[in-house]
Amino acid sequence: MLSQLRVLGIAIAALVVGWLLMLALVWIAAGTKDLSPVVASGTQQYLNALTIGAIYALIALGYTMVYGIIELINFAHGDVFMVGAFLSLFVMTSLGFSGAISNPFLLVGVLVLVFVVVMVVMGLLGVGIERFAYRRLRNAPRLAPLITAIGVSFILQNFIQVFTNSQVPSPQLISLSNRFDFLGASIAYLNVLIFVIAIVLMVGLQIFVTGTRLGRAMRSTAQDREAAQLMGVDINLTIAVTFFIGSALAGAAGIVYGLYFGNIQFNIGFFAGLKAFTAAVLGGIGNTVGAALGGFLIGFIEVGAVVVGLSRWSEALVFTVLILVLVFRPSGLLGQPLGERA
Amino acid sequence: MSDQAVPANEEMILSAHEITKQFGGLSALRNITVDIPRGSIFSLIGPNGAGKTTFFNVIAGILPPTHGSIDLRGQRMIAPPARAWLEPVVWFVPPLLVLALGIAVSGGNIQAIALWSLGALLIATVILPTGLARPPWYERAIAAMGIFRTARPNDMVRAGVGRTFQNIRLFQYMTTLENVLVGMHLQLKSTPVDALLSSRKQKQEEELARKRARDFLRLVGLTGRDHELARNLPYGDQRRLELARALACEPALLLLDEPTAGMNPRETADMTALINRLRHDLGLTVLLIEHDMRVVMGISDWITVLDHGERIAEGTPEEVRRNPKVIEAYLGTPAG
Amino acid sequence: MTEPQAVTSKEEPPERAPSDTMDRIVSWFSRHRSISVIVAMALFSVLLPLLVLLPPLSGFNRQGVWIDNFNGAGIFVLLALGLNVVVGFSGLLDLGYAAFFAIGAYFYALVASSFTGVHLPFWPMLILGAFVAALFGVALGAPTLRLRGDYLAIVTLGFGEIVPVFFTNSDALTNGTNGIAGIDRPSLPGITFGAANPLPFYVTIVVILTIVLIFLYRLEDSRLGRAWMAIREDELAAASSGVNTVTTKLLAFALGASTAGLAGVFSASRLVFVSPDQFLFTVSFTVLAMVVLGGMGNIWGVAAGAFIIFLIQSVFLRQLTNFLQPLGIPFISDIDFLKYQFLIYGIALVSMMLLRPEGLFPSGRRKRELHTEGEMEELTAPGEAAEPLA
Repeated sequence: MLSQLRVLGIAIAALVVGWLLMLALVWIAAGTKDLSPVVASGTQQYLNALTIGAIYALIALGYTMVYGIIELINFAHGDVFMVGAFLSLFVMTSLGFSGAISNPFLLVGVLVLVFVVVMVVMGLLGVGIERFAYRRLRNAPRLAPLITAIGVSFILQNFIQVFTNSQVPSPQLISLSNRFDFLGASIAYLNVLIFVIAIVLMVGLQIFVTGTRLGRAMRSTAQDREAAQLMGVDINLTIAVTFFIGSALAGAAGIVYGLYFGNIQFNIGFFAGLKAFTAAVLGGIGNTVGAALGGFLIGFIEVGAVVVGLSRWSEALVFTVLILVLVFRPSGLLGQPLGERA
Repeated sequence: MSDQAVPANEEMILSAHEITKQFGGLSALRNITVDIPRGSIFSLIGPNGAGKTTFFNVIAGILPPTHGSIDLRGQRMIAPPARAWLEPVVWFVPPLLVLALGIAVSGGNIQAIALWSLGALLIATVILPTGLARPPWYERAIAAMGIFRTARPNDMVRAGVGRTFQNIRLFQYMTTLENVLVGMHLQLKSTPVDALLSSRKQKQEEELARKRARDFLRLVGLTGRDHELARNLPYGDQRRLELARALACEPALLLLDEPTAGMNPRETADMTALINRLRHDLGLTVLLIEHDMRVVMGISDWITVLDHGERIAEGTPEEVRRNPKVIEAYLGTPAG
Repeated sequence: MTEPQAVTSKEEPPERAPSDTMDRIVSWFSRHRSISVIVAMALFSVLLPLLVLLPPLSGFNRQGVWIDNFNGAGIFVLLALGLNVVVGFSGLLDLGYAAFFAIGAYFYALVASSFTGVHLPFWPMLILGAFVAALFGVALGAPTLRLRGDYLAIVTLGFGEIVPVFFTNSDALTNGTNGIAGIDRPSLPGITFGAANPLPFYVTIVVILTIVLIFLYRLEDSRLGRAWMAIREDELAAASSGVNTVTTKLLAFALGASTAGLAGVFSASRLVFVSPDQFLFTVSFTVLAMVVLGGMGNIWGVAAGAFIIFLIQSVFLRQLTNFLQPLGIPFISDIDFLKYQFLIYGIALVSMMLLRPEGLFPSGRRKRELHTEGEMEELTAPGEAAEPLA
């Protein structure tokens, strides 16, 4: 209980610090001494960072869980996110919704439906990928499953690409213009909603991982697969569940992406995946809290780069962060220092 | 604990002082001190999980100790690093200085900056590989700056340590001969340039190397199977091959981790005789982890007993056999 | 090393049967590898332009276009051979290989084009470009090669992304997304390397490939080659046998990068134009697919795989589409196979890893070594007791 309170405290502190930092960045970039536009713009950018960060965090969780349990970088994971975005587009348009929904009950109903459907389907997709592409190679030399993962990634990307090569508009069920005022800044409901959804999912994951038997099985398998097996843990089932949850979260991230940005493309998974993986590494691979933290940090870095005028370099910046973290602190922010030596 | 210390006037090939290794909260090794005289067969025994292989891995340079140091032939090889931060500084500061200088001097001229960065890069790619390859003059310069870097596995091999593994680690998809040739890696002197040019020096050395590799194979009793893949060899031969590969490193100290594991009595007797012969004919010092007490009692000059990461007994085979602490550790009951 | 001992004479060859003659020919070629490579490449490169004069190949393209395609294929063969050193020999997964290709190409574009006004000659720049790429290989490798396999893969992927981004965003230096045009073609007295004449490029790439192949075979059979393979098999055991894993991996990286640099310079001079789009992840992925499908570690297998895959991609897929379209088969005729090519690669990669991870042409090196007669076989009776080393 105490550690959870501590995490909560740190999270809140981080949120506040992040907001102030963003304000500082905007202020430096703007160069004006006038505070109120800085607060307005800075708060909006901060919310952007939180939203983008939430997307990365949700994707990063899948990476970190899978890596923690079978030590594989699931290259296809980012593309599961992308497929999730397209699936949510499909579901929404099939139901006949292509724009903002004003009736709040209908809105909630549609959202719940979309989330449930997409998350379950993506979860199953993840399980399927594991079952057919990765399971046989669990004990193969490391190169083989990595290459397979890249192959799966390309299969997913190109499968979608065949249908549509360019940007496709995705229904924004809540308009970004739907805003409210808070402390002088105008905040979009969508930002808040996305953040809340992400937090709910992440907290739910933490509860599952720490509180349930299956969650404990996941953690013990991640620590020592043989010992877990000896304790009676069904390894195949545990790994499948891990993939299910990770992919479902990626699917959720896909829905969020479509809602927020309003258009999607077959290659968003590639870049988002890389950045989310950076987030997972930054936070400490195998550590779910770290992945969430890393996700928000990366979102912050990305938006921060845009704010100071380096938007063209935002990708390069994120990858540089990745390289620096791996070289100087490979265990990430929240991970244990690795004792392994070649 | 036996009171009889190893005779002090003998030359110690390896001296380990107070080696401690902690993994998180777990102490795998605690203040292990071991002195191994040259030319002896020194055994390390103890129940499972006592820390024997961990100790091997520390000596072999695979695991850095949390505390303690190891000297090989009088030279400090392994110890917690000193001024480790300084080495990256030595590597990166010169090129960064050049880069900064370039940016300052060229005043916005992109092409000039590009040239300066290329120059900085050139400097970096001269310094960095040197820092990684660690030629002797570099090591001396580093040592003079007070920087100490604990030895890595290949450094220990260069210093004269060869080893085998508890679970055989051969190069499965390479042939028997190739496995031994890799062991001879440090003994061969031809460079990649020689290889590219296929110089006479290269060809000669390769021929001689193959001959010598076959000698090592003959030494361990593996002949006529040069071109078979290591993975296709029967178990006993795989162990011999691993031994041949270790011998190819021309070690002064040979670390054998359970060399007779999984062998039947006849194979065990053969291996034991081989180890003895290696000590006599090649003047090797052998540090042995073994569970088979007949082997241990049969060929050891000196035995150290570990349990739960600590040394609980040490002495000649006779002394250790009768030591009540040892009996308790193995059988779990206090001796009467 | 001990002093040279007297060379024991070779055994008398036993009775010759017809298959023994084949074996003898094969073993002669495997002992005189350089000559074999030169002969094989010469034969192959002469036959190819003649083959495409025959139907149905003649129907796909004119000979000139075919030869131009071969030049493109040659570039990818070169890339695949270089990546093979990194991935195939040493087991290091480099996912950003196109970055070194880009570095070579942009290097040449900057030293030999109307964009910069500098016009250094092609042939020395070929070598220098390889060297510059190798420098970057070392610069990337030095801090990152101690990372474990999957992390290294991601880092190289990141590097592969950063480099094109750098070229895109550095407008002043590299003309950004527009790329650099007006790059000089190579020049030799009396020979024009022109757009209309792909033959000089063809001969050049054949010569480059021959030299690279010879070098690669020599390295494979050397102390360094064995060290690479030992690292791939079991890095810890390699280190415990004395191999300095860091420098050995760096050498692999440097060599791989230098080969890509060669390819880059050649490609820039052939296309007379470089732009960041030429060096995206799809290129890295394609080369990786070529190495994996061709048989990681097997030099000629990788070369063959790269050649075949390139031609499939650039010629045959289009022909397949053109062929099936007029036939009016429902659904199949509508497929533009070119669009699907990466889907096919992906499926091929996954299938290969699951079914035949050694690739289409697995390393026959060991098979050859098992049958060679050139080795001096010392006569020892099986089970003879080991003797003390003199």
